Amino acid sequence: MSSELSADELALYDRQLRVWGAEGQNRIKNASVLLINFNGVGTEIVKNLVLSGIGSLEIWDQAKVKESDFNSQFFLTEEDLNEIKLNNNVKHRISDMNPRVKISVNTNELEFDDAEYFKNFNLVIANEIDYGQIIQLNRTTRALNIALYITQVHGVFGFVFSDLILDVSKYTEIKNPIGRSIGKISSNQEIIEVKKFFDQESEKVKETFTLKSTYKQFEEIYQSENLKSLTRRNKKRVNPLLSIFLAYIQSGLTSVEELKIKTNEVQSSFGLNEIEDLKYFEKFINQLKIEISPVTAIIGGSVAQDIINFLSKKVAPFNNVFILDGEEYVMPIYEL
Amino acid sequence: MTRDYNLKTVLGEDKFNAIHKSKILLVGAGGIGCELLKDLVLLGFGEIHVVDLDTIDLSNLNRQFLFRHKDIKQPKSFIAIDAVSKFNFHNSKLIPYQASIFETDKFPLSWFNSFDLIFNALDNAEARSYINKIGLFLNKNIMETGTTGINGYVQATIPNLSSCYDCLPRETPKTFPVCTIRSTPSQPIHCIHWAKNVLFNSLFGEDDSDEIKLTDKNIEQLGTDNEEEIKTLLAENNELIELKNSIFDDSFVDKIISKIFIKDIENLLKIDELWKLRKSPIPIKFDQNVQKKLDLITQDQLGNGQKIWSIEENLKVLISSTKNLQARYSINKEIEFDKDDEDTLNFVVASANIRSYIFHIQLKSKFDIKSIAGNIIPAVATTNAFIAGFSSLLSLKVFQNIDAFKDTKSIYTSQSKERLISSGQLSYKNPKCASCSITRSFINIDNSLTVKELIDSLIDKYQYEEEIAISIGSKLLYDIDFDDNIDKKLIDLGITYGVHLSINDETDLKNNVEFYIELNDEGKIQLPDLIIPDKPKPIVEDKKDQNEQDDDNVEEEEEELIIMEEENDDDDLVILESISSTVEKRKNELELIKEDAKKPKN
Repeated sequence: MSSELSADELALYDRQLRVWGAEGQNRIKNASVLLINFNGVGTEIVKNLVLSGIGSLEIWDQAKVKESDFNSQFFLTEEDLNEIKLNNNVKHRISDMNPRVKISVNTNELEFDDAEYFKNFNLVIANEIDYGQIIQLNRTTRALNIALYITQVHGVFGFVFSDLILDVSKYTEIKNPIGRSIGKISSNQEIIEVKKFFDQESEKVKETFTLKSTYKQFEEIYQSENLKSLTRRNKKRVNPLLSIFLAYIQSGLTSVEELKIKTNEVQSSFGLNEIEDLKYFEKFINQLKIEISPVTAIIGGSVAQDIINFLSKKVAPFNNVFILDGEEYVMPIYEL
Repeated sequence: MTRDYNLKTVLGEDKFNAIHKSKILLVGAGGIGCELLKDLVLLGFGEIHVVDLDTIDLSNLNRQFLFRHKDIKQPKSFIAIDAVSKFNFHNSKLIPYQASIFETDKFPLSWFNSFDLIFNALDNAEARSYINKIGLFLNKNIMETGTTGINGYVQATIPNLSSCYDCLPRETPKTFPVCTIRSTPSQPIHCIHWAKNVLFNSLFGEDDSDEIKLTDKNIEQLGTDNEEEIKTLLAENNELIELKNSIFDDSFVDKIISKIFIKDIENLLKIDELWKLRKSPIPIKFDQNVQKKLDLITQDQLGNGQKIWSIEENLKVLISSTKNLQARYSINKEIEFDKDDEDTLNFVVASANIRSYIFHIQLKSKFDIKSIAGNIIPAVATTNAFIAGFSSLLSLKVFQNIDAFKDTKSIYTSQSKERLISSGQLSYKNPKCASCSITRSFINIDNSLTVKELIDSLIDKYQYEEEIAISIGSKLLYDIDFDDNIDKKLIDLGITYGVHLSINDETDLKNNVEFYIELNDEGKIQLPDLIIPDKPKPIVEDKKDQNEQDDDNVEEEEEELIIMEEENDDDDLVILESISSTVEKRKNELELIKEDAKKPKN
């Protein structure tokens, strides 16, 4: 793989090449991505990936444009209302941002176990799909060794899961006072090699380390033992929103009482205390399936950045669930 | 309509309606600005004014998603508004300005006062600081943001309550001792600095700005007391001026090479003292053989700047760029370094690399040198979108909320494995802050009146005990020992609309005041009814040692990013060092400020 970019790309991508370099840009350019559901979060991810110069991007969506899409989907105009969302005008508006990216749209039926179709991609992002679809899709991506991202947004709340299967990558960082050593650093991650060196230019000691990150399939995370080993204090800091999201995704329940029961089942499978306060559930259910632009920008920005981290290999991607509580302004990552 | 219903559900009906009727200001339509404008339009803010002085560049298009290739050279504010108007689903009123936010005739205080909230999406400290002061004058909340690469922050300023933009000291640009740059470079940056600020400026810049620097009193700045070295430096400098005088000669470039990269180095080598602990530099060879090698180098071979050129390739580029610059100099008389000006960049890259070669320092690609010489701030779409998202989300809490201080948080991106952001309560203002610890107000004056008339009115109105001093910024206009201006007209001292006039009580009893000047032509001085509080007593720092120690620790872990001059050239701002350490530092400093604020005042 040559790492020379054309003069044109060099000029256009100048500011981002300062972050991930020509090798990173080339890896991004070689990626073939499928995005399922062109909703608000999908819109932001598409914008960010197309700007970054991803190789090719296929967008799957069969929906027609609804009023509520106008809260977050800026590739649409009033004229698109009731039209098929992935119409030619919309496709053109996407391509127009960066004509170097191959954009295709797909409005056909989609079978989540269609290996023939999915094998065209090396990364899949699926927004707002249901539990059965997630399980099926994740089995397919596993079988084909494809990276997978799952997102959900409800009002000010967001949820992202990733299954990058197995990621072994080298990173270079400034050595912290203690330094890294070979061995497990968390339940899913392990350092398998460390090399210390003195960087002439920055006059700092740096470390090049190889991080091995193992991921779980979506259906496995419900049985995760990782939260059980937390100290009592750390258990208290687990945001109730994590279990609410998992309970909602699995059950689709929309009544406060029922969702509470289901959530507390998840809580107990993680070894966490029951959530008594109903207001969490009320707020969550009240905002179900509503997407507003600040939240889609935050979730879409962080998912796209993580995809770029994964592809460019400059920064380690997260492992394996993060949530946004847009009322408390926190975005914890949980290794499940 | 569902689009309204959804927003009402999430924001609440009252907030939705308030936002719908509001008028807000967005300063900056660059990386963060484009993203923010999109979010604000989709949220349905009633009226959005966007100010940006810049026009669109090719290198903006990787992230400023409202702009297209065909928009290059067009004003950002207008194109941005044109682009979002296609998805202006709530019919926000959108008003662009292509202007500098500092222009007081276009943007008087009353104009700022008409906004319910100000969003900063700026790329430089000066403009941030200016907006910060406007916020303090008008008691207006500001949503402040910044990004560098994949790091960024959002912080609301609640005037006179939370810390303001100026509460924390800003990073000062890193400087190098002259001798390191001139005689003993050890890093690529030293050679780049030399190539751009010494060599390029001496040869193509404004006439003889350099001579004074070296010959005058500034010897201590040299960072050496080796007399021989000083002598060599001075001689070198004078020869450089001589060299410049031959700029129109055909042999100019040969002279540069034989003086700068051969003779000057030989002279340096004579100073044994310098090379006792350092590896001695080796002057380059430049003869027929080398010349032949240069002739064989093709343009293709040089590529587009990503690979590191050999010494011969650097010489080739030095020669060709010098010839181009010579030709241009005969027309322009003065050429400024600009990273986007190929000739100037090529000259700096090649001469920096040749010098690095001489001093056994690693050579760098044109791409990398451009970054350092041009102060390029890395920027990506994702982080800008993310930070703009948080700015607009947090603004919903800040907007028309008297409890904004406790209801909002400051947000920093985090590279931890456990979270994507670190967020915290806003900090209290720094009692020592020069911007927000003083009293602010407005005066309306006729500036054809004299300084004496103004001073008499001030003493009379505010009952100053004795004398007062007045100044604009650091420029003193009048005090008890400096009364030269006492009978001059205010206008002749630069006191015009929008000037910030400082009044200091020389007896140190009353707090310092800064007045925003507004004008009348009726011979009046209208002073506001204002109770100027007593000057706060200095705070005794009992834990000083501890604090200093903490600071030192922070300092040590800092990853410094070296900045060679103050202005920076990009649209997304700037935290001029790795953010993680800035965040740590800010956090530490804010903790100290909070401690201070809690201490009882006697």
